[in-house]
Amino acid sequence: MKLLVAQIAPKLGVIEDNWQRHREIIVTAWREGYDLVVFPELSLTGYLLRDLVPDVALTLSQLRARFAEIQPTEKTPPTLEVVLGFVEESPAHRFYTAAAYLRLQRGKEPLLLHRHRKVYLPTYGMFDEQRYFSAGRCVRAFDSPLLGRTGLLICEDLWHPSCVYLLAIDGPQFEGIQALIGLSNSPARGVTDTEHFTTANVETWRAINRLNATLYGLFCIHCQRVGVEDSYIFSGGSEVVSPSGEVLARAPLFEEHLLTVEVEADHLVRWNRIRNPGMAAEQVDLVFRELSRIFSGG
Amino acid sequence: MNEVPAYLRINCEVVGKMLTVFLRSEVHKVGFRRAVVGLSGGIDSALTAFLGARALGPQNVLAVLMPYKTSRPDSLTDALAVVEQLGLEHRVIDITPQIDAYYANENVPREEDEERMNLRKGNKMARERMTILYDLSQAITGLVLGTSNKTELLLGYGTLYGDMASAINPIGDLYKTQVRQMAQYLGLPERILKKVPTADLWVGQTDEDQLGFSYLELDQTLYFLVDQRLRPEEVVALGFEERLVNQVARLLQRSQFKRCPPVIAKVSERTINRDFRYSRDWGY
Repeated sequence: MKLLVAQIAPKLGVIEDNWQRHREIIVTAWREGYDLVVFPELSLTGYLLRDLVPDVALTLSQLRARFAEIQPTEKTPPTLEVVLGFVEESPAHRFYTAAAYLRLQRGKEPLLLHRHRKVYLPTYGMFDEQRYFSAGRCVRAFDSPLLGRTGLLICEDLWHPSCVYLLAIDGPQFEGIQALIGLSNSPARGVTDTEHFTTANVETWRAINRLNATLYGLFCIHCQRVGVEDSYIFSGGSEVVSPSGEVLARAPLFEEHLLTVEVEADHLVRWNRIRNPGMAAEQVDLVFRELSRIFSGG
Repeated sequence: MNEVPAYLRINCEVVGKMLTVFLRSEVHKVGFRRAVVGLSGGIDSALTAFLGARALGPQNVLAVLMPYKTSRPDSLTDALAVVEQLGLEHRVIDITPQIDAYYANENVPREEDEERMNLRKGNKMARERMTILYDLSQAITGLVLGTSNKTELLLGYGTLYGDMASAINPIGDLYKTQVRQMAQYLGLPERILKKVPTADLWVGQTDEDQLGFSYLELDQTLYFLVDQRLRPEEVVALGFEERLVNQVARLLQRSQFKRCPPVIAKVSERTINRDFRYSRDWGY
């Protein structure tokens, strides 16, 4: 499997320019035989949108229509899977920070395999997301022909272990995901570590990626954006981490980078789960009972 | 006591990279290539010039030296050392004629004490320099780089619409003790690293005399009050002098107006910066 993690710097609120950029990267990747392209959170719009949110929002059918424009003329592999971030406007005119997982097919309409709406909208300190966005209410795994059972989360969702846990058990016989995709926009901050070439937020993200990969035996792809919006210098440092916690690829900090990895993800997951089948013993019924008790105040 | 504690130490390599990306991005994406910086001969503006040269190329940074007749002569020579080390294009503009012309026509009340007059003139000079920087920024199609550090911004130790004015400020989130670390890392002239900080607004002025405490003491106190959000009494409990902590807390509150854009009275349904909310980088 050949995958491309597009660590880009979107333009704030300029959806046409950003779409052109996505399109170029997607078309090139398809022609070059990639199987999956992953863009960061809000990759079509930029982050500090504030009152621009309704102006840059797309309905799901508008998003599909854009992808239907992409029809490779040359001889390309039959399919390409793409993950990107956008502002979704619901039929009831609510606005969500959303991510879409699409399967593009040569000569056919693109399939929308999954849409995730960001559940946890940070609204504290430097963040103000709940002011502009509604919160998603679902965490669901889905099936990708390429990655198998897959989970898709956005930034702050990954700071809530419950989100990853739900994905890890979401499937028949509680056989949850094998692959976890995270899309983030993380402003760099915390520069007192004088030993490593990194910032505090980057260190935390590395720890989270490694923890999720190893705890659940997951193939993890985490796409971070770069670029500057007002005071914020987005950190980058996108990663692909194996189920045993090995960093298979890592993009540099602060600069645009198309991170490419060739990997047999399913093989890595299998290899890891033979040695470390911990989650196979997960007592989901126990979790359910105890959660019900806690929830009802017992 | 003169040792900078670990919590104020910064990774200069990372900060240098971040500020380079910041300056380059913020200048280039609005379609500009160039920047203007007022060089005082002090460490803050020298650091800004170094960062600007690194991000944009020295040929794209115009340094402007704007002495007044009472400015210390070594301010000019130290500023010129920066110009020379970086190979910047520069202008020296003596602001004495316009400052003196203004005060020659201004009826200064006889009872006005020297301290107030010093402050008025100091502020006037800072604003005069600002108008020159903005004029030249238009002349060369560039942006004005800010030179205020976090310590002086938090204490209000600067002139509103004077030295506090800029298009983009790379060093406004660095305390003075952190500015020094960056300055050393980037190899600023030794004399600038060693000199006693002064706004040089009147003869013999030094920052630490005027503020009443050393920058190390001020930065530590600010760190606990601002970054760690401790209450003043909690900072005193850590072993800091009560007079220092109270003074810093008071200046912090009383200078808030300097860190805000002018207040607009709300009368309509959508008021600028209240419910008309856009980022400055909207469209870039």
